[in-house]
Amino acid sequence: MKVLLVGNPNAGKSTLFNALARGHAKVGNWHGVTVGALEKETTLGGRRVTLVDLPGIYTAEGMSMEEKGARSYLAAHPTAPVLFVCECGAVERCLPLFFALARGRRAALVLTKAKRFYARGGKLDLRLLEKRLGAPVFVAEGLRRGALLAQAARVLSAPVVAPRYVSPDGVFSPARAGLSRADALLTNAWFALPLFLLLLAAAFYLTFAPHCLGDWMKSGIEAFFSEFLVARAQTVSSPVVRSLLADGLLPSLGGVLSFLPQIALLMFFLICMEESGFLSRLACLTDGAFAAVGLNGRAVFSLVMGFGCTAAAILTTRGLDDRRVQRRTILCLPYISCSAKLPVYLTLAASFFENAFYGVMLLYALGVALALAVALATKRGGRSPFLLELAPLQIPRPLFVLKALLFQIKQFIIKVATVILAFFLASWLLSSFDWSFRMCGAEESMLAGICGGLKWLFAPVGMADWRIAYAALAGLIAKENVAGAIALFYGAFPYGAASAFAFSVFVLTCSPCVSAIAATAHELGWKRALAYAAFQTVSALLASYLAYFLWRGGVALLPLALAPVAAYLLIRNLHERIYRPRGHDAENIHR
Amino acid sequence: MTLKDCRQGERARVAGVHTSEALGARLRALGLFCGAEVSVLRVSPRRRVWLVETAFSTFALGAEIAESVEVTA
Repeated sequence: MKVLLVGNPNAGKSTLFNALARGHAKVGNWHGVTVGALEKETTLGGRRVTLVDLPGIYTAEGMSMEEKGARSYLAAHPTAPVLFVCECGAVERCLPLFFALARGRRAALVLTKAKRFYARGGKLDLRLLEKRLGAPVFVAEGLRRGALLAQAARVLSAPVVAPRYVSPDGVFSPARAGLSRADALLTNAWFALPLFLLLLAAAFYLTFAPHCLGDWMKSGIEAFFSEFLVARAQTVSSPVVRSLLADGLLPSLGGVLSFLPQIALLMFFLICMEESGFLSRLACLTDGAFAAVGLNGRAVFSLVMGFGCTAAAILTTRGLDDRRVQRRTILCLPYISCSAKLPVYLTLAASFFENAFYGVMLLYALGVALALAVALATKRGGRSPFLLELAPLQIPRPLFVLKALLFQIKQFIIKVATVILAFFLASWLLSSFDWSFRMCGAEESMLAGICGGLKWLFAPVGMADWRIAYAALAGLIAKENVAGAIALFYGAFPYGAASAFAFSVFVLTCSPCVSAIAATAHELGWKRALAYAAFQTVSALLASYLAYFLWRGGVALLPLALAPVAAYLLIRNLHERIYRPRGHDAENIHR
Repeated sequence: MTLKDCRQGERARVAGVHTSEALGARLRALGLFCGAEVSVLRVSPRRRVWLVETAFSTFALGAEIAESVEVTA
């Protein structure tokens, strides 16, 4: 039997799902975090049931792709009981939706965010509401898992819901209205935007700057690998095992794992941003800027999530109402540097900037600029109207942040222990043995035989070296492989500043990893996903050649190169402003 | 007069919502329907986004939607 969790976006459905089923649904303080149905078995009232976390719905008619998905799921399971999750402050507006979705089913009303509601002067008579609703009602906040399961189990014996009118008189009294002082500041563009940039700069500084927290923790792990583990491995008697450990696995795995503290710091910042409710205010403040490039303020959530993981960010684009905006946002996302690119940047940045922090910041800023340029270049026609409910402003809950962070760290370690380890094992094997399986140098190895022809790929940027090409293409499996492959073949990056910058630009602009390609295929189909990947890889190669040329003194010729592009964009924009029909003809977002 | 003509701090009553059915339903769910009171909490510096409050919710809407919501003072 399935039990469905439904309700408005950001009501707390996924948090309830995780509590009831010990699930790992992504939660966040943003309307539209859940984009697909998530199922997990649990025991309610002594019965095994499948709990289903559905995306949020505002109306029975639905507007966005995720709302339509949720409605389809409900229609496909017409008798499944429903746990309708609703914020205390939204009871009055949610009652019509409750009856629309729960009609003909057993249902219970689960109330969330009670503390905030009562603190702002709201009043709610639960017993009277339950009596008038004719369905169980309980507040989920503050309940331990056992009590929560017992309350949720009441839905299994609840009466079938029949539509009725429920008067709010005596039952519900709204909380204090208006903006709080903090909100008044955070919705003021002159304060909030500089604050966001300051917080971003502080987060990046703590994470990347030399002798700061992130760098200090990274050095500790590097020292543990090189001075302890590799030193021990050097004493192994078998030359094959010694080579595997000391020359292969430990330097490359250590090279990737040493970046874990910095990735964790960056994820900590993103989680806090998401949890605080600041993102929805940022979306409101930046909608105007995004409109200029044909996007929507709602895209800010996907773009900020792109700093964590491109694949996850692509999935969040389902919350956009317009298919065309979704496609453009997905096309932009690979240029937002995900956390997996961080090890590569930190490995290379030291070669073209004395202080690696500035190098990394340059690459991040370049990525954002490219993403916006791609959005502008692909801008066609109007865009969907901007409408976004403001998520409540709150101090990030420490336990929630810790759980989310530990989950991300666990995912990273699992990735290193599986995909990346398998890649390095294969790379070491192929680069340490010749076709007769005798140990040899890299230039005589099987890998040199297979990849030798690739050496011309990066010859124009001063690196006629098949190992660099192999490292670059390894990034299509997982971006961390690039840093690990460099550590495997060279230890430290052996080429000069111009080549390092060009290679960084390649990694920045290249197609994302296979997970992100699969996420794109899930949203837009395989043909488009592979076309995007091919285009991005080829254009990344060209971009790296251009970057090398500019670094080597071609900066003076940059205006000449950019002038035709700028002219084209200006003329096209003017043409659109003059000839674009009024109103928006959003492309049908039905599949 | 439309919501787009309202300034920060003003209150108005909704006289009509002239949008698509789906968008209209979403706005109704957020408390923007005929006869409802709406307060304008903030208007962005370039008058592209209106932050409004109704009895049901606080939300932001773009100039295109603000233009399609008819209000009376």
